[in-house]
Amino acid sequence: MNNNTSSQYWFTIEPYVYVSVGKNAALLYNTLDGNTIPVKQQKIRKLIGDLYRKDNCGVILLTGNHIDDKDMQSFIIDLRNKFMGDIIDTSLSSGKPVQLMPKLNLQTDIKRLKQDEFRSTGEHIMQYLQETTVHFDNKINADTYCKFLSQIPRWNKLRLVNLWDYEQRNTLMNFLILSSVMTVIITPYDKITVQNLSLINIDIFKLHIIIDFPADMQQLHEAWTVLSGQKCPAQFVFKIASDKDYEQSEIIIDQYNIKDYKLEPVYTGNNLSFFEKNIFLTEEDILSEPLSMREIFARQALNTFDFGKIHVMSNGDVHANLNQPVLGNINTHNIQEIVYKEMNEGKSWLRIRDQKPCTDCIYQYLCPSPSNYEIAIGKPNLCHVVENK
Amino acid sequence: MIETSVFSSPTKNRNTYLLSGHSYLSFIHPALKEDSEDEYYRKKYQYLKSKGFFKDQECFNNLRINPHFVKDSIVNMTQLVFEVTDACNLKCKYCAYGEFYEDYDVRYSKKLRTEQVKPLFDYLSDLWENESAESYNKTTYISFYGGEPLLNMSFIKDVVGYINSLNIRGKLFRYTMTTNAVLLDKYMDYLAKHKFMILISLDGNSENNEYRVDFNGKNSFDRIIKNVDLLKKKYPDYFEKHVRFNSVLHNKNTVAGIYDFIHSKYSKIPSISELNNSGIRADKVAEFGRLYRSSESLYQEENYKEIERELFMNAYSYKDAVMFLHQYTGHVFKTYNGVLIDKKYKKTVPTGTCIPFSKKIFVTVNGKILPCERIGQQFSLGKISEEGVEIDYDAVAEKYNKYYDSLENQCSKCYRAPSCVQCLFYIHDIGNKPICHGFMDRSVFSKYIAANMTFWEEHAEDYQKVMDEVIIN
Ligand code: SF4
Ligand code: SF4
Ligand code: SF4
Repeated sequence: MNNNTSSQYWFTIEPYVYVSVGKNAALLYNTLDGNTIPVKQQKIRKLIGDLYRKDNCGVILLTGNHIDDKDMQSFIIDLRNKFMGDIIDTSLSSGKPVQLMPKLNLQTDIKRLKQDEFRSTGEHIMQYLQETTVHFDNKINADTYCKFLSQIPRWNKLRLVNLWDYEQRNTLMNFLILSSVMTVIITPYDKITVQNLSLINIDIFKLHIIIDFPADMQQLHEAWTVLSGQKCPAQFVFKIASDKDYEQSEIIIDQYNIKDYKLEPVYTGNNLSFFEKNIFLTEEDILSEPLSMREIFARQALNTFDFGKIHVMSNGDVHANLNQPVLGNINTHNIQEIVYKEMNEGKSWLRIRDQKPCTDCIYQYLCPSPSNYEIAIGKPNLCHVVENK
Repeated sequence: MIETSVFSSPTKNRNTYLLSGHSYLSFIHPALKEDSEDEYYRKKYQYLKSKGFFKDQECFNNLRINPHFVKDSIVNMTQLVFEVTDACNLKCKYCAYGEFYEDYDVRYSKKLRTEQVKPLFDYLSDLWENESAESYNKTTYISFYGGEPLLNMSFIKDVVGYINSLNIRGKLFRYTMTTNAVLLDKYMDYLAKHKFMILISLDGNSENNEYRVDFNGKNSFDRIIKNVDLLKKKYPDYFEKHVRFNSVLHNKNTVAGIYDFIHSKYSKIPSISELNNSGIRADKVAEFGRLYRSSESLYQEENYKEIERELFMNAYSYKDAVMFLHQYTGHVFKTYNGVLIDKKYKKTVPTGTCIPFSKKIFVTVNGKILPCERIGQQFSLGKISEEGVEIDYDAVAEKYNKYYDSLENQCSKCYRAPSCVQCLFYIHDIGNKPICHGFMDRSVFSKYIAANMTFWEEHAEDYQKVMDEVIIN
């Protein structure tokens, strides 16, 4: 090292900082506390970009020119104050350090596996199945269901929709009790009766009670009375399509002092303004909760809403997402084939923000995965950050 | 109790790194300390502390296995290896069944018979058909190992015939073989037809290959080369895609010599293995020591940098450094679930040993069943007899748990634990009072971080390539 080194520095950013590069700007995001530094100036964007150059491997030598630059100085001061990066005097070391910059490396990424002729895109896929929702009417007999359900992994959560109308429900329930599958029964509140609840008086069951609006307060009260005499744990799911629905849900929650509940917006086809006002994201919403690096990676790799979930329709057809094509049918396909198909050809589990305008946006993977609302509304982005027509 | 955050010793370039909680590894200013004289770094230390750094770590590697682990591993098996025969048509000086070693069964030039393994196939196909597998369309490798497997071709043909007749939804099979290539001329048509992936043992050029001798002490080199050249000429495509070389490192060759010869002659990058130095007979230790050459010897060679780079993942140094970054950067995930689910508190078993049968099932010529071919046969976990296959899942789990128990004291205090690759079967006196020589306390681990980061400082431009291209899981 020559004697000059006291005026030279290694510049690096912390590996817990996620760097998001958009079309016209970049954003540094501290995954430990959610702090950010927007980067608009070209020269600073270049500096950041250079960190990612193969030969730099996360560290750049800062010399006199850089250090004298006022903008550069204020950027570095901000970076250091937020503990998001540092400059370190090169005289402390005798050679270049490296910073192993964050970059998602998913070993069994489907695209990677496809390129390797000795690997299969079906590796470990059954681990991925986390939740199966079965929608009943009377088209399929209980034995077929039991056979199908016996193939699903033991950790899978089961959700049953419209169970009360299924004639062979006793056979099915006996099977579930014997194999101790954790099961959620999805039911409208007007189906909460003493007789129905007597069927599920066992600790593997939980109720999700759907409340649509306008709610029938009399019925609701009856349901509440029945429930109060039972032990079965219940969550209330309010389907909200307007401000009015929201107000009514608040009244109900207050009146019954409901602790376990969820508000679920519903797109009806003509309540876009409700969505724009309440659901569309602003920059503030996106940055409101700090995300870990892993959570950001997850949004790069998969759809955090849909991944691991399938729906079995009443005719046996299976979808990963009800808006997407059928993957198979439980009468003809086994569960592995269905999951394999979704991983290889499906459009749900691996649906990420890889469309414009999100691909140009600095919030691309800081934003939640695209949800069903994007599909229903027919827009790739439900936000106020980039308004696209 | 061990700490989550460890500062590295200085690297060769005198840089310092901080490693924390298995998922954070950063180049830092050496003044970053709790009692630093520099106020900024004192504050930064406190900031990191408030975010969960510099804490004691809960012991995470104290998991024990249950019989389900064993059964699931068999259902999802990756590789079934047959010791087709213990006979060989060579008498290599360093053979694992030769003069240096003591931990294998007495050998009588036996051959596995098809009827002998029939119960195993019944057992496996029953599991494959009736149990829900974790993967779909994943390849199961059926491997033939010896002795010299080509000495028992009738068995190999029977097995291939049987496997090809199976039709199990979602199961694919491939065949692999390790051979000395002496009989390759005779069987290459068959091997090429069934797309066997073959691994040819060859230690370099003629001089390098001097320990690979026949029963008259004659070097097998000429014969092997003649056969390999013929294979290359007759089946060029097959040769390119399915044939690989492995060389054993010893005092008659060098990493550079092996690489130069095999790469220039066959345009292939050989894998290079060290001699197994466990289970050496007491009276042979000195002689073995003269023969043994470690892969570290590469660094004494003149142009080691280029060779190492060419060998890439076939070089131990790359393999180790890649494992290191897979384990500690927090950027590498094995499966989609890994990235979806926070696994900070995921429990693992002690040591780096595979869960029994999760890598392989190895069947010896005597019908013993082991978790792989690289461990002493006294560790067998079951057998095939006329009555059928005897693998007692409970007993296997209990046996492993006892091995784990005997190491618990060391593993729970070992800083190397998250990236441990130590197989317990290589630890002397396992199950009683074993001592693991891989144990790392804080200060050894600091040096271990420094050694790895020195590697990355010297190979900085390979980081991207490794992240983009290498699959090891
Ligand atoms: S939805 Fe798309 S465009 Fe809107 S903020 Fe998120 S990433 Fe950006
Ligand atoms: S050497 Fe040990 S860890 Fe490796 S496959 Fe064999 S038994 Fe498993
Ligand atoms: S290196 Fe040895 S002591 Fe450390 S975790 Fe591995 S087996 Fe245990």
